[in-house]
Amino acid sequence: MIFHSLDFAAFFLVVVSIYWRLPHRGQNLLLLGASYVFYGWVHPWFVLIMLASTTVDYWAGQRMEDDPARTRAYLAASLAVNLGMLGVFKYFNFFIENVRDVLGALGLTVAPPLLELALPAGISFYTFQALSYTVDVYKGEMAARRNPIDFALFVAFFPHLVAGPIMRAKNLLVQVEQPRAWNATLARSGVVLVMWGLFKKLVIADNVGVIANRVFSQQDPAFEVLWAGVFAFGMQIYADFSAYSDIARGVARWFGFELVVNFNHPYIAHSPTDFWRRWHISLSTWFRDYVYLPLGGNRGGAVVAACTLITTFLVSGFWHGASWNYVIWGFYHGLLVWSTRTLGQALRLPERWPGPLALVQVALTWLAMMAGWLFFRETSADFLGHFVRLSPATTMQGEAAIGLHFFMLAATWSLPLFLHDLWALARERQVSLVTWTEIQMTGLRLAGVQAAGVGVLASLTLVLRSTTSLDFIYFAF
Amino acid sequence: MVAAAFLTPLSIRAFNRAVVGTPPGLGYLPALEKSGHYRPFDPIQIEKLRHGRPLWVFIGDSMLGTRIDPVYLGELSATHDELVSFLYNPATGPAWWYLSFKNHFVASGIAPRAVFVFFRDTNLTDTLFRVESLYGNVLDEVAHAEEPELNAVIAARTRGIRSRVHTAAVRAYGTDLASGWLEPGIRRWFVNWRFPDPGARYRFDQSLGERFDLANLRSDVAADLAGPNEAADFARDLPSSVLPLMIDLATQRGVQLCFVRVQRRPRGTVPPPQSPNLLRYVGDLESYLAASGALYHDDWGDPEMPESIYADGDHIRNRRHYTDVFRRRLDPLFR
Repeated sequence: MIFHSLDFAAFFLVVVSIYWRLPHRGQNLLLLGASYVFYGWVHPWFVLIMLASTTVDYWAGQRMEDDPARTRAYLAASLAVNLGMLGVFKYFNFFIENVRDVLGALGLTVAPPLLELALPAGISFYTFQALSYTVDVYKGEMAARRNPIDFALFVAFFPHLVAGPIMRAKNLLVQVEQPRAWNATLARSGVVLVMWGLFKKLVIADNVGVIANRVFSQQDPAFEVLWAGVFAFGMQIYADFSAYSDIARGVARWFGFELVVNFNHPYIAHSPTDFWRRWHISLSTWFRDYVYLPLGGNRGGAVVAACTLITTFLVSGFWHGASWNYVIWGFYHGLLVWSTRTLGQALRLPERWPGPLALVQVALTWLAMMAGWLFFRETSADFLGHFVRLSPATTMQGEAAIGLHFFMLAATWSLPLFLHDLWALARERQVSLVTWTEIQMTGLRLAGVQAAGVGVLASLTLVLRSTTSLDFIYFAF
Repeated sequence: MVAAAFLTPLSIRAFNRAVVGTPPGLGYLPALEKSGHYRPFDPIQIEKLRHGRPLWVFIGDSMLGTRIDPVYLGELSATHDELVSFLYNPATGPAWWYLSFKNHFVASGIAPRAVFVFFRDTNLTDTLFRVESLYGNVLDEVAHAEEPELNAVIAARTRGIRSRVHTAAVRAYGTDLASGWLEPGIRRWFVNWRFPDPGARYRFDQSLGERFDLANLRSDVAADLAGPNEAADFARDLPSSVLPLMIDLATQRGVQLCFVRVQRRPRGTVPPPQSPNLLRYVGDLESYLAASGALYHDDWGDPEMPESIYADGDHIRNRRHYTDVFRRRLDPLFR
C-alpha cells in the first residue's frame, strides 16, 4: 500500500478511529494486524518473509539471555537468517550473473538458473532494524523481550516499514511497550508533516523526476543535458525520500509514536562528513554503530582507518542495490569523506569556514554531492563509462540551451526545497529574524500558521501534482 | 488542521475566476472531467481516403507502424501503393483507433475490401488505455466536439470509487482548470523569457522534440514494454469498451473488419508465455469476433516471427519480412 492512495486514506481512517478506543494491549494488537495488512496488500506472501525474520530474532534474543554460554551462536543464527534473506531476494541474481561473467571471461560458458522472485518491499529496512535488536541484546545494551506482539510490532510498524526511518529497538520498542495518550499538538504537527511530505513527493519529486527520467532515457545526451538530469535526480531523490520519512513521521504521530528525524537539510552541509550526518540519518548511524565502529572506527593507524571508512561506505553502497554502480557510489563517498577529512587535518582548516567562506564551503559540498548522484542513477556500466568521459567540447549547437532549460525547470520545481533549506541555514547561523519568528510561534498562533500552511500546501499539491506518478525511489531497495 | 487541508483548496475556484473568467467546457469527453482548450478536428485524412480510395485500410499504433510497409504491401498485392492506407499514430489506444475508424474512415464513405486493426493482448477492451495526459492530446485531432458513444463507455469505466472521488475533487476544487493555467506558467517561464521571439521559441521547441524523439532514446526506453493487463476479463470489460461500437459501425456500413493481435517479443523462436487469464481472454475475444462477423488473426507462435526480426521490445525491425509473412497468412483478403 502506498501513502498517496485512496486505499491508504481509507485504511488509515479505519485504523486510527478504532485505535484510540482500545486499551494499550489492544492498540498494539490492532497496529500489528494493520501493519501486516499494509505490508501484504499487494503481495500477501511478503508477510511470511517478515514473520520469519521476526520469529528468528525474537527467539535469538531470548536464547541469548537464557543461554549466555552460546550468545555468539544465537547472534550468528540471527545474522544468517536476516542477511541470508537479503542475499537470496536481493543479491542472488547479481552474484550468479557476476560468476557467469567471470567464468565467461575465462572461456567457460555456463548458464546457471536465475531466481525470478519479486524483491519484498522494505526488506533492507526491516531486516536491519531487527538486526539492531539482536546485536544490542548480544552486547548487553538491552534486555531480550518476552512479549511476541510487542516485538512483532516493533519490526512491522507500518508507517515506516517500507522505506524507513530505520528505528532502533532502544527507541521504538520502548515506545511500543509504553502506554500512549492522545496528543492533539502531536497530531496537528503530524498533519503538517504529512502534507509537506505529500507536497514534496507529488509536486517536487514527481515533476523533477520526469526531467531526470527524460534525460536518462537518452542514448547520447550532451554534457549540459546530462548534468541537468543529474541535478534533477539529486533534487528528486531528496524530495522523494525525505517525503516518505516525513509522511511516516506524521502518520506515526497520529498513533502516539515519535520516529527519528531522517533528513536534516543535507544540501546545506558544509562537508561530505556533515552531509552524512544529515542524509538518511537513521541508516548512516546504523552503519556507524554496527559496521564502522565494530570494524575499528578511526583506530589502528591512518591506513587502517581509511580502509575501515571506505569499507563502510562500500557496504552502504551495496545495501542500496545489487548493482556495481551503487558500490562505485559508496566508494566515491568513502573517498570524498576520507580525502576532505585528511586534507582538512593536514591544512588545519576549521570544520566550518569563517564568514562568507562558509557559503563557498556549502556550495562546494553541494556540487560534490550532486556529482555523486550520477553513479547512483545510472545503473548501466556502459553508459556510466561514457558519461564520465563526456565533455562540453562535444556539445552540439542548441543542446546547451536544452540543458539550461532542464536545469532551470528542475530548479523552479525545487524552489520550495531551496527556501526551506535557506530558512534552516539562517536558523543555524542564528539570523535574528528567523529565530524571532520561531520564538513567536507558540500556542494558537502556531496552530493558525500550521493550518494556513497545510491549506496552501494542499491547494498547491492538488493543482501542481505531476500527471506522471512515480514510485518512491527507495521502494526499490 | 484537517479541515484546513480540505477547505482551503476551495479558494482555487476564486483564482480560476480571476485568471480565466468563465471556465471552458469539459470538451468531448465530459466523463473525464477535464475542462480545457481542445485542438480542432483534423479532416485531412478524410480527403486523403476519398482521393486514394484504398482497397485495404490499416488502423493502429507503433505495433502497426513498425510491422506493415504499405508501399511494399501495395506492390505485393496490386499495381500501385495507394491501394493501402494507414490511419496510424504511435502511442495511441482503442479510443483513438475507434475515433479514427468512425470519424475518418466511415466519414470518408469509401468501401475497401478490409480494415485491419492492430493491437496487443488486452488493448481492445482497455478503454482508458492512452486516453489521458499526454496520450490524450492526440485524440483531439480525431474527435468531434461531441463524442457521446465514446464518452458513455469511458463513463462506464470511471464509475469505481476511486474515479468518483477523483471526479468529485476535480469538480469541487476546479483543480484541472487551475493546473491548465498555472502549470504551463511554471514549466514555460524560462523558455518564454529566454526566447521572447515566437519564432525562436518555436525553433527551440522543435529542437527539443527532435532531441527526444524515438530515434534518440535508449532501446529499452523506446521499447514500450508494458505487459498485458492481467486483471482483464473479456466478458466484464466488453460492454464498456469501444469494440462493440466498431463492430456495429462496420456491420451497418458492410465493412469487413479484421483484428490482428501481434505477438509480443519472443525468446529466440519460442513465443512468450501467456498466463491462463490471458489465454482465456484471447479465446473469449476470438469467439466474440467470430460471432460478430469480424475476422481475427493472431501472430502468436508464428514460426516466421522469431526474435531476430524484432527491434526493441515488441517493435519489428524488418518491416518487409513481416509484411511478406502477413500477406501470405491473410492471402484470401488480398487476392
